[in-house]
Amino acid sequence: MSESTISAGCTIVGKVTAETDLTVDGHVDGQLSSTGNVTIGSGATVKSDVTAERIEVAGAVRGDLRGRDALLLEDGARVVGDVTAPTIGIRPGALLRGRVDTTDPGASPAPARATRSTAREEPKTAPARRAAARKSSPSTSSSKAPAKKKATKRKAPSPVMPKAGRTGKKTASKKSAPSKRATKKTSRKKAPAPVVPALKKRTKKASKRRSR
Amino acid sequence: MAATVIGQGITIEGEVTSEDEVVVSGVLRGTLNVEGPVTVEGDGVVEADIGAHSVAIGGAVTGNVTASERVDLLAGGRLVGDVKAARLTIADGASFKGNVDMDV
Repeated sequence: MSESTISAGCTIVGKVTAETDLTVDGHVDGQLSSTGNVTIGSGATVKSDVTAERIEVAGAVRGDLRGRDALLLEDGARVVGDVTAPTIGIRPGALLRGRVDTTDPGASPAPARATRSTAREEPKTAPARRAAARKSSPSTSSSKAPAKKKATKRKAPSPVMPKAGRTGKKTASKKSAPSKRATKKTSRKKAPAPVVPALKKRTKKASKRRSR
Repeated sequence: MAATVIGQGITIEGEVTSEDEVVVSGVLRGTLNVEGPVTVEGDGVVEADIGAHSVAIGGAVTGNVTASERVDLLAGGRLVGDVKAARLTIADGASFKGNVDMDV
Protein backbone atom coordinates (compact mmCIF):
# COMPACT_ATOMS: atom_id res chain seq x y z
CA MET A 1 0.00 0.00 0.00
CA SER A 2 1.99 2.97 -1.20
CA GLU A 3 -1.06 5.21 -1.38
CA SER A 4 -2.65 6.82 1.59
CA THR A 5 -6.11 8.22 1.98
CA ILE A 6 -7.70 10.58 4.42
CA SER A 7 -11.32 9.62 4.00
CA ALA A 8 -14.35 11.86 4.03
CA GLY A 9 -15.19 11.49 7.68
CA CYS A 10 -11.66 12.10 8.88
CA THR A 11 -10.37 15.36 10.33
CA ILE A 12 -6.71 16.03 10.96
CA VAL A 13 -5.59 19.06 12.89
CA GLY A 14 -1.84 19.27 12.75
CA LYS A 15 1.07 18.57 10.49
CA VAL A 16 0.98 15.89 7.82
CA THR A 17 4.22 14.85 6.17
CA ALA A 18 4.13 12.24 3.44
CA GLU A 19 6.75 10.43 1.42
CA THR A 20 4.16 8.79 -0.80
CA ASP A 21 1.08 9.77 -2.73
CA LEU A 22 -1.76 11.05 -0.62
CA THR A 23 -5.45 11.50 -1.33
CA VAL A 24 -7.42 13.85 0.86
CA ASP A 25 -11.19 13.55 1.00
CA GLY A 26 -11.62 14.79 4.53
CA HIS A 27 -10.57 17.83 6.44
CA VAL A 28 -7.00 18.92 7.06
CA ASP A 29 -6.17 21.94 9.18
CA GLY A 30 -2.51 22.73 9.59
CA GLN A 31 0.29 21.83 7.25
CA LEU A 32 0.42 19.30 4.45
CA SER A 33 3.61 18.46 2.61
CA SER A 34 4.56 15.49 0.50
CA THR A 35 7.46 14.39 -1.61
CA GLY A 36 4.94 12.61 -3.79
CA ASN A 37 1.62 13.63 -5.31
CA VAL A 38 -1.35 15.01 -3.46
CA THR A 39 -4.91 14.68 -4.70
CA ILE A 40 -7.56 16.74 -2.98
CA GLY A 41 -10.96 15.24 -3.61
CA SER A 42 -14.18 17.08 -4.28
CA GLY A 43 -15.48 16.73 -0.74
CA ALA A 44 -12.23 17.73 0.92
CA THR A 45 -11.66 20.91 2.86
CA VAL A 46 -8.02 21.76 3.32
CA LYS A 47 -7.15 24.70 5.48
CA SER A 48 -3.41 24.60 5.14
CA ASP A 49 -0.53 25.19 2.79
CA VAL A 50 0.06 22.23 0.53
CA THR A 51 3.47 21.38 -0.89
CA ALA A 52 3.96 18.38 -3.18
CA GLU A 53 5.29 17.22 -6.53
CA ARG A 54 1.95 17.16 -8.28
CA ILE A 55 -1.19 18.61 -6.77
CA GLU A 56 -4.64 17.94 -8.17
CA VAL A 57 -7.41 19.90 -6.53
CA ALA A 58 -11.10 19.24 -6.86
CA GLY A 59 -12.18 20.47 -3.44
CA ALA A 60 -11.88 23.49 -1.21
CA VAL A 61 -8.47 24.79 -0.19
CA ARG A 62 -7.62 27.78 1.90
CA GLY A 63 -3.88 28.11 1.76
CA ASP A 64 -0.95 28.35 -0.59
CA LEU A 65 -0.41 25.53 -3.06
CA ARG A 66 3.13 24.79 -4.15
CA GLY A 67 3.70 22.11 -6.75
CA ARG A 68 7.29 21.28 -7.59
CA ASP A 69 6.20 19.57 -10.78
CA ALA A 70 2.65 20.51 -11.73
CA LEU A 71 -0.61 21.78 -10.36
CA LEU A 72 -4.11 21.13 -11.63
CA LEU A 73 -7.37 22.72 -10.53
CA GLU A 74 -10.31 20.60 -11.62
CA ASP A 75 -13.92 21.58 -12.06
CA GLY A 76 -15.31 22.08 -8.60
CA ALA A 77 -12.07 23.27 -7.08
CA ARG A 78 -12.29 26.28 -4.84
CA VAL A 79 -8.94 27.72 -3.91
CA VAL A 80 -8.24 30.82 -1.85
CA GLY A 81 -4.51 31.29 -1.77
CA ASP A 82 -1.42 31.63 -3.91
CA VAL A 83 -0.69 28.97 -6.46
CA THR A 84 2.88 28.25 -7.49
CA ALA A 85 4.12 25.55 -9.87
CA PRO A 86 6.14 25.28 -13.08
CA THR A 87 3.01 24.04 -14.85
CA ILE A 88 -0.42 25.15 -13.78
CA GLY A 89 -3.71 23.99 -15.26
CA ILE A 90 -7.05 25.52 -14.39
CA ARG A 91 -10.03 23.67 -15.78
CA PRO A 92 -13.31 25.46 -16.54
CA GLY A 93 -15.38 25.55 -13.41
CA ALA A 94 -12.49 25.90 -11.01
CA LEU A 95 -12.57 28.90 -8.72
CA LEU A 96 -9.36 30.62 -7.68
CA ARG A 97 -8.61 33.70 -5.69
CA GLY A 98 -4.94 34.37 -5.29
CA ARG A 99 -1.73 34.81 -7.11
CA VAL A 100 -0.62 32.50 -9.88
CA ASP A 101 3.12 32.05 -10.30
CA THR A 102 4.69 29.74 -12.85
CA THR A 103 8.21 31.17 -12.69
CA ASP A 104 10.93 28.98 -11.32
CA PRO A 105 11.65 30.28 -7.82
CA GLY A 106 15.35 29.60 -8.25
CA ALA A 107 15.69 31.59 -11.47
CA SER A 108 14.15 34.94 -10.61
CA PRO A 109 16.80 36.24 -8.18
CA ALA A 110 19.72 35.14 -10.41
CA PRO A 111 19.45 37.78 -13.15
CA ALA A 112 19.02 40.50 -10.55
CA ARG A 113 22.24 39.43 -8.87
CA ALA A 114 24.04 39.25 -12.22
CA THR A 115 23.19 42.81 -13.11
CA ARG A 116 24.26 44.03 -9.72
CA SER A 117 27.62 42.29 -9.85
CA THR A 118 28.45 43.55 -13.34
CA ALA A 119 27.45 47.07 -12.38
CA ARG A 120 29.76 46.94 -9.38
CA GLU A 121 32.70 45.59 -11.35
CA GLU A 122 32.62 48.23 -14.07
CA PRO A 123 33.41 51.32 -12.04
CA LYS A 124 36.29 49.65 -10.25
CA THR A 125 38.23 48.92 -13.41
CA ALA A 126 39.14 50.81 -16.61
CA PRO A 127 35.91 52.80 -16.93
CA ALA A 128 37.03 54.85 -13.97
CA ARG A 129 39.70 56.54 -16.08
CA ARG A 130 37.34 57.03 -18.99
CA ALA A 131 34.82 58.67 -16.71
CA ALA A 132 37.42 61.11 -15.50
CA ALA A 133 38.04 62.27 -19.06
CA ARG A 134 34.39 63.19 -19.36
CA LYS A 135 34.14 66.49 -17.58
CA SER A 136 30.36 66.38 -17.59
CA SER A 137 30.29 63.24 -15.53
CA PRO A 138 31.26 64.72 -12.16
CA SER A 139 28.21 66.95 -12.07
CA THR A 140 25.88 64.08 -12.84
CA SER A 141 27.77 61.66 -10.67
CA SER A 142 27.36 63.82 -7.61
CA SER A 143 23.63 63.72 -8.03
CA LYS A 144 23.73 59.99 -8.53
CA ALA A 145 26.09 59.37 -5.64
CA PRO A 146 23.28 58.87 -3.13
CA ALA A 147 21.64 56.41 -5.51
CA LYS A 148 24.78 54.28 -5.57
CA LYS A 149 24.82 53.91 -1.83
CA LYS A 150 21.46 52.16 -1.91
CA ALA A 151 22.05 48.69 -3.32
CA THR A 152 18.50 48.35 -4.63
CA LYS A 153 18.84 51.39 -6.84
CA ARG A 154 21.98 50.18 -8.51
CA LYS A 155 20.01 48.30 -11.10
CA ALA A 156 18.59 51.35 -12.81
CA PRO A 157 21.69 53.51 -12.95
CA SER A 158 23.91 50.63 -14.04
CA PRO A 159 24.93 52.30 -17.30
CA VAL A 160 25.66 55.45 -15.36
CA MET A 161 27.41 53.46 -12.66
CA PRO A 162 30.80 53.81 -14.30
CA LYS A 163 30.49 57.56 -14.08
CA ALA A 164 29.43 57.38 -10.46
CA GLY A 165 32.10 54.85 -9.70
CA ARG A 166 34.67 56.92 -11.38
CA THR A 167 33.94 59.66 -8.98
CA GLY A 168 33.69 56.79 -6.54
CA LYS A 169 35.33 58.70 -3.74
CA LYS A 170 32.14 60.58 -3.46
CA THR A 171 32.54 62.79 -0.44
CA ALA A 172 35.88 64.27 -1.21
CA SER A 173 35.77 63.97 -4.96
CA LYS A 174 32.44 65.65 -5.51
CA LYS A 175 33.84 69.11 -5.09
CA SER A 176 37.51 68.80 -5.75
CA ALA A 177 37.85 65.75 -7.94
CA PRO A 178 36.32 67.15 -11.11
CA SER A 179 38.44 70.23 -11.03
CA LYS A 180 41.51 68.32 -10.01
CA ARG A 181 41.01 65.67 -12.61
CA ALA A 182 40.38 68.23 -15.30
CA THR A 183 43.39 70.22 -14.32
CA LYS A 184 45.56 67.18 -13.88
CA LYS A 185 44.74 65.75 -17.24
CA THR A 186 45.00 69.02 -19.05
CA SER A 187 48.10 69.87 -17.15
CA ARG A 188 49.51 66.49 -17.87
CA LYS A 189 48.91 66.96 -21.51
CA LYS A 190 50.51 70.37 -21.58
CA ALA A 191 53.18 70.11 -18.98
CA PRO A 192 55.11 67.14 -20.30
CA ALA A 193 55.52 68.76 -23.72
CA PRO A 194 57.87 71.52 -22.74
CA VAL A 195 59.67 69.58 -20.01
CA VAL A 196 60.49 66.46 -21.97
CA PRO A 197 62.38 67.99 -24.87
CA ALA A 198 64.56 69.94 -22.48
CA LEU A 199 65.42 66.85 -20.52
CA LYS A 200 65.98 64.85 -23.65
CA LYS A 201 68.39 67.43 -24.98
CA ARG A 202 70.31 67.39 -21.78
CA THR A 203 70.43 63.64 -21.62
CA LYS A 204 71.66 63.42 -25.19
CA LYS A 205 74.45 65.87 -24.53
CA ALA A 206 75.18 64.11 -21.33
CA SER A 207 75.32 60.76 -23.08
CA LYS A 208 77.67 62.16 -25.72
CA ARG A 209 79.91 63.65 -23.09
CA ARG A 210 79.89 60.39 -21.18
CA SER A 211 80.74 58.37 -24.21
CA ARG A 212 83.78 60.55 -24.85
CA MET B 1 -13.75 2.74 0.50
CA ALA B 2 -14.28 5.09 3.36
CA ALA B 3 -11.38 3.93 5.43
CA THR B 4 -8.63 6.34 6.29
CA VAL B 5 -5.33 4.73 5.47
CA ILE B 6 -2.25 6.33 6.93
CA GLY B 7 0.40 4.61 4.84
CA GLN B 8 3.95 3.77 5.69
CA GLY B 9 5.48 7.02 4.48
CA ILE B 10 3.02 9.28 6.27
CA THR B 11 3.79 11.12 9.49
CA ILE B 12 1.00 12.95 11.25
CA GLU B 13 1.59 15.17 14.24
CA GLY B 14 -1.68 16.38 15.66
CA GLU B 15 -5.23 15.37 16.38
CA VAL B 16 -6.90 12.84 14.16
CA THR B 17 -10.65 12.42 14.35
CA SER B 18 -12.63 10.11 12.12
CA GLU B 19 -16.10 8.72 11.73
CA ASP B 20 -14.90 5.70 9.82
CA GLU B 21 -12.27 3.02 10.01
CA VAL B 22 -8.66 4.07 10.37
CA VAL B 23 -5.69 1.91 9.41
CA VAL B 24 -2.31 3.15 10.56
CA SER B 25 0.87 1.93 8.89
CA GLY B 26 2.84 5.12 9.33
CA VAL B 27 3.67 7.36 12.26
CA LEU B 28 1.03 9.14 14.30
CA ARG B 29 1.77 11.44 17.21
CA GLY B 30 -0.93 13.22 19.07
CA THR B 31 -4.42 11.87 19.67
CA LEU B 32 -6.60 9.49 17.73
CA ASN B 33 -10.36 9.40 18.19
CA VAL B 34 -12.36 7.24 15.86
CA GLU B 35 -16.00 6.24 15.88
CA GLY B 36 -15.15 3.03 14.10
CA PRO B 37 -12.45 0.38 14.21
CA VAL B 38 -8.77 1.22 14.44
CA THR B 39 -6.07 -1.05 13.13
CA VAL B 40 -2.40 -0.44 13.78
CA GLU B 41 -0.41 -2.45 11.26
CA GLY B 42 2.94 -4.09 11.89
CA ASP B 43 5.01 -1.11 10.78
CA GLY B 44 2.74 1.46 12.35
CA VAL B 45 3.97 3.60 15.21
CA VAL B 46 1.36 5.39 17.28
CA GLU B 47 2.42 7.68 20.09
CA ALA B 48 -1.02 8.80 21.06
CA ASP B 49 -4.00 7.99 23.17
CA ILE B 50 -6.46 6.00 21.12
CA GLY B 51 -10.18 6.15 21.57
CA ALA B 52 -12.25 3.99 19.27
CA HIS B 53 -14.99 1.45 18.90
CA SER B 54 -12.53 -1.38 18.57
CA VAL B 55 -8.76 -1.42 18.38
CA ALA B 56 -6.50 -4.05 16.82
CA ILE B 57 -2.83 -3.51 17.61
CA GLY B 58 -0.21 -5.16 15.44
CA GLY B 59 2.45 -2.47 15.70
CA ALA B 60 3.91 -0.19 18.33
CA VAL B 61 1.51 1.86 20.41
CA THR B 62 2.55 4.13 23.24
CA GLY B 63 -0.47 5.60 24.91
CA ASN B 64 -3.70 4.73 26.59
CA VAL B 65 -6.21 2.74 24.59
CA THR B 66 -9.91 3.13 25.28
CA ALA B 67 -12.40 1.09 23.29
CA SER B 68 -16.14 0.94 23.62
CA GLU B 69 -16.18 -2.65 22.49
CA ARG B 70 -12.93 -4.59 22.28
CA VAL B 71 -9.16 -4.40 22.08
CA ASP B 72 -7.08 -7.05 20.35
CA LEU B 73 -3.34 -7.12 20.88
CA LEU B 74 -2.03 -9.19 17.97
CA ALA B 75 1.20 -11.17 17.72
CA GLY B 76 3.98 -8.72 17.03
CA GLY B 77 2.09 -5.90 18.68
CA ARG B 78 3.73 -3.81 21.36
CA LEU B 79 1.61 -1.75 23.71
CA VAL B 80 2.84 0.51 26.46
CA GLY B 81 -0.13 2.10 28.14
CA ASP B 82 -3.40 1.40 29.88
CA VAL B 83 -6.28 -0.47 28.28
CA LYS B 84 -9.90 0.23 29.03
CA ALA B 85 -12.27 -2.02 27.14
CA ALA B 86 -15.08 -4.46 27.68
CA ARG B 87 -13.28 -7.26 25.86
CA LEU B 88 -9.58 -7.88 25.49
CA THR B 89 -7.39 -10.45 23.81
CA ILE B 90 -3.62 -10.64 24.00
CA ALA B 91 -2.10 -12.96 21.41
CA ASP B 92 0.95 -15.10 22.00
CA GLY B 93 4.01 -13.07 21.08
CA ALA B 94 2.50 -9.70 21.89
CA SER B 95 4.19 -7.31 24.26
CA PHE B 96 2.19 -5.34 26.78
CA LYS B 97 3.01 -3.06 29.68
CA GLY B 98 0.18 -1.28 31.42
CA ASN B 99 -3.02 -1.57 33.35
CA VAL B 100 -6.21 -3.21 32.24
CA ASP B 101 -9.66 -2.04 33.19
CA MET B 102 -12.49 -4.14 31.81
CA ASP B 103 -15.17 -2.75 34.02
CA VAL B 104 -16.75 -0.50 31.41
